[in-house]
Order: sequence, then structure tokens, then C-alpha cells
Amino acid sequence: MIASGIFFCLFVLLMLTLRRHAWSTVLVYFLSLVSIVLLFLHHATDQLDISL
Amino acid sequence: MNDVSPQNDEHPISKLWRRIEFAILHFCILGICGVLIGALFVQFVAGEFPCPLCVLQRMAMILAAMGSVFVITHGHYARIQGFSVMGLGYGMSILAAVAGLAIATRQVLLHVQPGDPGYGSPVLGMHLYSWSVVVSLVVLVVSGLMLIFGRSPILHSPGVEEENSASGMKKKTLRLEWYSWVIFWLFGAIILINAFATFAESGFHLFLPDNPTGYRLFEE
Repeated sequence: MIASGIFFCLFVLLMLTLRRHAWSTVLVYFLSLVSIVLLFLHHATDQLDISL
Repeated sequence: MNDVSPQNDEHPISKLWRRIEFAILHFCILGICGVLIGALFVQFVAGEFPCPLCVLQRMAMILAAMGSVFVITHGHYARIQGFSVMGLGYGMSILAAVAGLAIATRQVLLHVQPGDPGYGSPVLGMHLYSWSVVVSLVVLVVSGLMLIFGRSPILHSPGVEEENSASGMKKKTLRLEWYSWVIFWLFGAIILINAFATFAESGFHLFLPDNPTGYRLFEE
């Protein structure tokens, strides 16, 4: 569900870009980027059973 | 936002270069759309289920293409509150490509051991995650070159239209060409297909399974 949520977030980002809301675009862009990186870190470290 | 109009006395080579830049931006989005359509083809026609890292690489590619969309739609502004439009757009692409490269490299390293069959079947001799490394590197190189050689943020052949608003003030709006809209809506449709396909795969679980074997939304 988180992954599909990020895809919907990317669709909202496209709509904001097309409507030329520059700073909203940049804000949602960073929200998406941070979400992708955090989800990647979750999947990369989940099986390692390590404490970061 | 600072509006800048194209100069009429511009050198023909400069005009040609602006058109080439405009075409490159569209081809960047189309290229990523092509790769994503290929991934959807492998998913739905070949019947292979994307793993979480594959899905993350798709997201990073979409985010990288968003930089080109930003430069196309905001290209009639020289700067936005002091920030360069080209810097914002290509910076967005570069950061997303770095994230995509990290994710794809991680998956390559998982399967790099000799004898490991890899995840999924190869396409044109390489697995999809290896292609993802190539795509990320291409985005980085193209964005770097465009930042160096990109002359002007005023990339659009359609130009700026002036409209009279209700208050009597003249409002400048950008008119994009039909092919820009076709590419944007194709891109939007691909994002939505990915969103629904991923939801079907994860079902009502927070995370995708590490080795998916079906669509959990329909199986549970």
C-alpha cells in the first residue's frame, strides 16, 4: 500500500507540474524522493536484522 | 517569476539549438515511458511479478522524468524567485537518478555472484535491474550535458500568450504543443497503471512481499 501511495503521490506531482505550481512541485518532489529512499532502506535492511 | 520572451534577432543556430533542447527534453520523457512500458509488458504479458526493488526503480525513473516535465512547463520563466528553472528541473532529475542508481546497484550486487540466475528473465541480454543502472547513468549524463550546454530556459516554440483577466490585468499563460500534452498524458497513464498494479500486488498489506508470486489483492 505504501508503494502504491508513492505512485499516486507521483501522479499528483505530475498534475502540479502541469499546472505550473513551482514550489508545490518542488515540495511534493522531495516528499516523494524521501519516501522512495526510506522505503528502499526498509527493504534493504529488513532481512539483515540489524539495529541502525 | 521573471518572464522572458524569445528575442527575434536571435542567431539561426541558437534557434535551432533551442529546438534541439526542446526535442531532447521530450525524448527523455518518452525514453523513460518506453522503459516503463517494457517493464509493464514483462509484468503482464510475460507474467513476471516485480519485486520491491524493481518497483522502487520504476518510481525513481518516473521522478527523474519529472525534471524534464518541469523544464518544459516552466521554460518560459527565466528564473523562479531567483532560482534557475533549468537548475531546478535538471537537479530534480539528477537526484532521482542517483537514488535509482543506488537501488539498481543494490539489486545487481544481490545477484552478481557467478551461477546466480538473477531475478526474472533477461531482456536483450540483461536483466531489468541492469538496464535500470544504464538508464540512471544516461539520465545523469544527459542532465549534466544539458546543464553545461543548455543556453536558455526559453525553450518553447509555442511561446507565451497574454490573456486579459477579470481584473483587467494582462496574465501570461504558456501554450504547450499537442505532442507535449500527448506525452504528458501517456506518462500520467503509466504512473496510474503502476499504482494500481502495485496495489494489486501488495493487497491491503503495508509492504510488498520480497518474492511475489501473485496478486495478493485477488488471492486473499
